[in-house]
Amino acid sequence: MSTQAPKVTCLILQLGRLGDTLQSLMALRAAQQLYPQLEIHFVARENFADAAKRIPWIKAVHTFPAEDILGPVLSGKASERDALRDIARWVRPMVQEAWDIVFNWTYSEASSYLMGLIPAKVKLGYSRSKTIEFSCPDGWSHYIQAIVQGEVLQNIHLTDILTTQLLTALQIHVGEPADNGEAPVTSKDFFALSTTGETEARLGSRWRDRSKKWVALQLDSSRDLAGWTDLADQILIKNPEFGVILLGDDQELGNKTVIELQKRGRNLSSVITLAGRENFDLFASAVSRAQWLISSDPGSIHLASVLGTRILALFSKETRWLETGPYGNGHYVAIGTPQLPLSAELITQVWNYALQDSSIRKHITLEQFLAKHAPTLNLEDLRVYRSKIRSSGDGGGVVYEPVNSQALELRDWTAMVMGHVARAWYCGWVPPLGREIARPSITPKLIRSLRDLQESADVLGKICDEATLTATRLTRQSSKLKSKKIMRMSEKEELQTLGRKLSDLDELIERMGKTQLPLEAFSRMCKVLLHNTKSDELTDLGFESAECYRQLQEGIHILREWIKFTLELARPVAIRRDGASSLSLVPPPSNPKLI
Amino acid sequence: MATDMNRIQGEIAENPQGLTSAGSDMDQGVDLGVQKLLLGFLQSLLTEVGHPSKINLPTINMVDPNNRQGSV
Repeated sequence: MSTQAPKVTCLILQLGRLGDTLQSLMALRAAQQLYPQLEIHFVARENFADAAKRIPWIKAVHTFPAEDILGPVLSGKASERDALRDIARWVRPMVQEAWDIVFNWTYSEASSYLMGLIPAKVKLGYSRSKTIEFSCPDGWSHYIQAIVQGEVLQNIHLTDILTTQLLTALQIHVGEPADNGEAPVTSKDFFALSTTGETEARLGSRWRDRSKKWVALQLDSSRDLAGWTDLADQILIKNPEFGVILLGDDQELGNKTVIELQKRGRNLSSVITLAGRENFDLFASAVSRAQWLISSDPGSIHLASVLGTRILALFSKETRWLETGPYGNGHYVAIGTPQLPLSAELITQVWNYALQDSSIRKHITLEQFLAKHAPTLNLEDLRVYRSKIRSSGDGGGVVYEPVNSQALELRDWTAMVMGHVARAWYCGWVPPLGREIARPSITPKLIRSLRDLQESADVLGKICDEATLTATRLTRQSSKLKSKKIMRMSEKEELQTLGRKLSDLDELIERMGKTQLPLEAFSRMCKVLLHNTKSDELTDLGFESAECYRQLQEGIHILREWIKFTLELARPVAIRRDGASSLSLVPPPSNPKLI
Repeated sequence: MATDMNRIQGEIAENPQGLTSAGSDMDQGVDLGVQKLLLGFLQSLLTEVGHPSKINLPTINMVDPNNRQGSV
């Protein structure tokens, strides 16, 4: 008798760009290893569908021909009615299928309408109700809408969010997985590429020389021709064992960089440009062959993550890089600021530090390394991080650990707290709090900010307590009514008073959110949760609203615990006199457990 | 819900052109929900590329607590 689990059909809507597609594929790979009975279908824009098409375990890829449908409308050659007809034809095969699970991982307004059309037993992500009202039924989607897209800082990587959302849904609706999921997700064989002939033709015999190491540079507009030339030049001078592969969309920039390097007398057998010429297979093949990728571009960073190629990611401070940075162990991230732009010399030095064997890195800090090799560099604002996959006991997922000593800013602290709150809300447990805060990183500025925040967080907590009580009272009062339409005047007045009070409290929560950066998360989450209440019965609506406020209370409680913990950690160290001549430090408080 | 989805499937399978030809008459017809979803999809895609749709579809705020059904 066969024990094979019944097939589960799963449709993924991903109408984003290449980076989004690759993050989705990483999450799907984890699920596919745990649930081999999944039959995965994938919807992608035509321009970014090749990555999904090269995955052997994906049953079918439905490509959305956005340019073919929208292009004629934009150029005036076709009407919107024509486009509408084309969309109806395109969507028909997907609508005719009865899906077990559909995930909308595009998280866009457009995709919510598409999601609304597709029939499925379980739907997660943005969708539309029968009345085409926007709906967002699950917790992680609330979090993405309120926090990630609400531009509140948080530190859970999007790949981890998608993976957790997917695996939680499968656990609930399909059952426990076949094994414990320890198999690695990334590998050089992630894609079934067919580039051998083309790659050979483009790269020649140099590609076959396995003694040669390569670093891929993703050329983009983050620096000009001189900047890219300087970076490639520094790499070739300092690391003659490496060659440089130039990638990116701009063929002219690639060609000019090669010419400039030639003018500087570099050996061109160590330089290859594929910029502007790579299709997905050649792109993936080049990134896979390279030992390192240096890039600011999310698409190439996610591609290298999937393929297990090490990465030095270059970001500016303003980007939400914690959510989209390189995924896996041992990648590096360097953050540029207006005060400290990421110069070619700085990038090359940081990369050279990353190249060191881990046993050497244990004995020399980045600061010591740079002081020795680039003593003239100003490092005051330098922020370099190294990625690590946490153990499941520490919360799992990728974390970026500071490589050099740096001050902890309120925005970074807020990101840590929100990651912790999200785990409490949606995973049902949290790791010990504050484990990733290094005591020396706490500055007087942060302490002042947290003291201000402490008072506001207490007030917000009390507002949510009151809102919970009021919503509960509303439920109790409305449940006593014998009729929804006929009631005593006193009963009606009481319900109206409670309703008005709840509106006032909602307004207060919103106003509190505007006063302090970390509180904004809760006011945004309040709006999203209340918008997604389902009931049209007053009793149920009161109950659902009370649940929303309770969720906020739980989050605010965690926020207050973090404030308390950080302030305690930062307290001046007490000195105990053990004897006439010896002094010893009293250790900082141990990490308490929240739950 | 399943009945609604069957209806949507049936409508699209039977007459995808009909869905769009009725697009201007948003207040009529059994296929109103499907039309609005298709139109919403197109309109949002056009908005994403900076080309607002000329077909009139009432917009709905993504997040508005006042959209709570049966709001008190």
